Amino acid sequence: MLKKNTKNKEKNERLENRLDLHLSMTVREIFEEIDCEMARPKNMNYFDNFFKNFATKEKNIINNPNKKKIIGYFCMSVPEELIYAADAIPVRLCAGSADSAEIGESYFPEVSCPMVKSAVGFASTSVLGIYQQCDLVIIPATCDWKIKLAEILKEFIPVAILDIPRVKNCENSKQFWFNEIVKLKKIIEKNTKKKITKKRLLNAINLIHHAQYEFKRLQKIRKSNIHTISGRDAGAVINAYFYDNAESWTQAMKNLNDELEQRIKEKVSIVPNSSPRVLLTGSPFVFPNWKIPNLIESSGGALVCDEICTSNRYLNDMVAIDEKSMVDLINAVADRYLQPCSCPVFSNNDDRKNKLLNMINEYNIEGVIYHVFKGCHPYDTELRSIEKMLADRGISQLKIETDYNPEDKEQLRTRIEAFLETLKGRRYSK
Amino acid sequence: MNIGRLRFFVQLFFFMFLIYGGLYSLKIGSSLPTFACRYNDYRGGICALYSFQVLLGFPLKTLFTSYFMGFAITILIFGFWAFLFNKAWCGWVCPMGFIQDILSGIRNFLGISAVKFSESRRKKLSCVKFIVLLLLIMIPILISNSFFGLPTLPKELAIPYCNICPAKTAAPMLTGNFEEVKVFGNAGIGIDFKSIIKISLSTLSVIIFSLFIVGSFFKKRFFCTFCPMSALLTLFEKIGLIKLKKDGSKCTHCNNCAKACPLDIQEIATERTKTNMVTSDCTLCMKCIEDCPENNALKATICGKTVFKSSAKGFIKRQIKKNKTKK
Ligand code: SF4
Ligand code: SF4
Ligand code: SF4
Ligand code: SF4
Repeated sequence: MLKKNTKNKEKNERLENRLDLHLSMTVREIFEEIDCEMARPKNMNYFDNFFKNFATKEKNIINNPNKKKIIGYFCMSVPEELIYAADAIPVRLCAGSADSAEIGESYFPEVSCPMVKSAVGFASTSVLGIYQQCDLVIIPATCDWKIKLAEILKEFIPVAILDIPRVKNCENSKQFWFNEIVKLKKIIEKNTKKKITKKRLLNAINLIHHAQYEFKRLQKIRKSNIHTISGRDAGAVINAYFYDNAESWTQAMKNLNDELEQRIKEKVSIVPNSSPRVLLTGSPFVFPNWKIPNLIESSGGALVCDEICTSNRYLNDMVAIDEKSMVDLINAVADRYLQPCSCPVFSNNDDRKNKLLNMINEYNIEGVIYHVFKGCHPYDTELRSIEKMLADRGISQLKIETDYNPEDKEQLRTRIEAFLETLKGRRYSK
Repeated sequence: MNIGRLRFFVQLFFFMFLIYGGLYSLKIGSSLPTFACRYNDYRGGICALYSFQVLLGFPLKTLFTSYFMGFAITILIFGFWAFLFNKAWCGWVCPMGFIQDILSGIRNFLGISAVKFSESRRKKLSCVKFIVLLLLIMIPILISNSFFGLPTLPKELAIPYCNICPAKTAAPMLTGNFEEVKVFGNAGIGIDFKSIIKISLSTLSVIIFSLFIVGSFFKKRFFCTFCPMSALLTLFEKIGLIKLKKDGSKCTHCNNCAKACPLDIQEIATERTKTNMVTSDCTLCMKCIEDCPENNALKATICGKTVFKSSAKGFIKRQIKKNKTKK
């Protein structure tokens, strides 16, 4: 018995060491490539640091000098406001590492979401400290993978499931969701031993409104026909929000936005203005899986906009305070995290279609790239109706089905290049 | 200045004007599409419902001969005002609307959260105002005209709506005149049939007035849901010069607008295709525009010109400001 345990331990250690090594290599490779890029905004440095720490030995990704409680969560349906109001640190745990997905593989069927595999990979090893440092992990029951993920993660970290109604716009769902959020508030209060008072909640809402102000500024900057920032970097700054404190993030965003606005004035573009303007939608991309945005941009596309839950969709919707009683505030917070969400797990999802069309219009999009994880059923299924909608309107589109594995990179590059060529061709034929 | 503030001051101005304006001989006409109550001696104008009820009380024969000019002018003036400001009369002018807003303000100050009507309940309740409007038109006609040889209605029912209108109690009260507050009317001991009508009407009026006060304390714009003036103004929702417009393609269904709407109009959030959002309950208060975070999803226009529109930037600025204020 004892022998077996030590054997397991040894095996685990070997596994961890290997993951540690591979992760560090992946991160270094990414930044080696980035270092060769010309004219990258200087203020990206701040955000890069979070990701560079993935490669260091200690991997201190989040900054927690005051030893506050850390509350992890998945998806974008968990109100960060409540976590901030309880004086805890929210960390979004959605993971993007192909190396850790390999470790998580044994927990899931063969074809399944790489995101949950990667998360289990991290949570079951101690390579990336934040997973095991969490005092609580909140997992919304958005898709089937997430709900099973919750069951698996229970083995390693304390988990609370947040049930979410999937038919958004009906009285019963609203009531149900409101009750769930009230319940969540109590869970968080119990875990942090801090009461979420009205004042604290208002301060938290304020904190996030400020962050969203800068986020909206960036969105506006990206509408310009001068490409001041790559789509990958725009995604990266939001990815950095997973790990950063909202206040410091806001300040860093302010600096970045100032720099970008200056660039627009000076007409500094990082890619030729003639690059086809592309919108990316579908399954999320999380560091270090910057495969798809990197491919689009290195093939000569301008990724000016995305409709992705780890990027643009994440910070887009805002809490609206009307009256300030606790019930009204909780209701406002609850609404913000359910009603406008365009995740494909909801039905009916006209909101997403509507949003895509509006984005295509506002960002002058020439082609849409639809990214699906192998095994991601909601995005995959919804693809059909969106394909049809785009085809009806004569908008070019490309579907990419992949996972975190870098092996299919070159094959995808060929397809993306061809797609971008047709976009250019279309432009001339117009 | 933010639009909520502006609205408050405009409302305050018209409140003073319509309730006390007469003291300084300020008058703006006798058929206003708003509750400038005729029973208030210091009024600065007269409510159109009163004029309509009086005129409809004349036998139809005379109405279409000798009184025709008067009748036509009343309708024209009413139409003109309603065409000009549409439902903004309710959100920006009506003194009764203002009183309701003040009561809601007090409730909010006390930290009590508002009662809301669910969409289905609101839809049901808001039919009441059309029924009231119909009665308000039919009863005066049936008093002075007999159809198919049926007996006419008793004269005590003349100007029926005014007898139960909460403004008839409230407006004189605000000028220190408490005469209209009469439980069981002025009836003495010997109740005869005629005074039974009077008794019922005055009792009903006190009940309605109390409901008005209690209701609008707990529910924003409670009375407006049932108001016959609002029903009448509905005729102008398509043609009025001031409009509330929605661009469904920009809306994310976030529900912020419906949450802010004092009338609990869900449609403002759920509507995707219709552009004119001045619905029968709307008061054009524009709170929905203030709370909409999407650029250009909602806007108010005058003669087609945009005067106020929703924007992400404006939304966040207003929210941050609201967050700072005490209440
Ligand atoms: S009682 Fe009501 S309806 Fe009659 S004049 Fe006064 S405000 Fe108008
Ligand atoms: S609906 Fe309200 S605001 Fe409009 S006239 Fe009636 S009471 Fe006044
Ligand atoms: S729909 Fe808008 S303008 Fe109309 S009453 Fe509601 S909040 Fe006011
Ligand atoms: S607030 Fe604006 S975006 Fe939200 S539901 Fe209303 S109209 Fe749509």
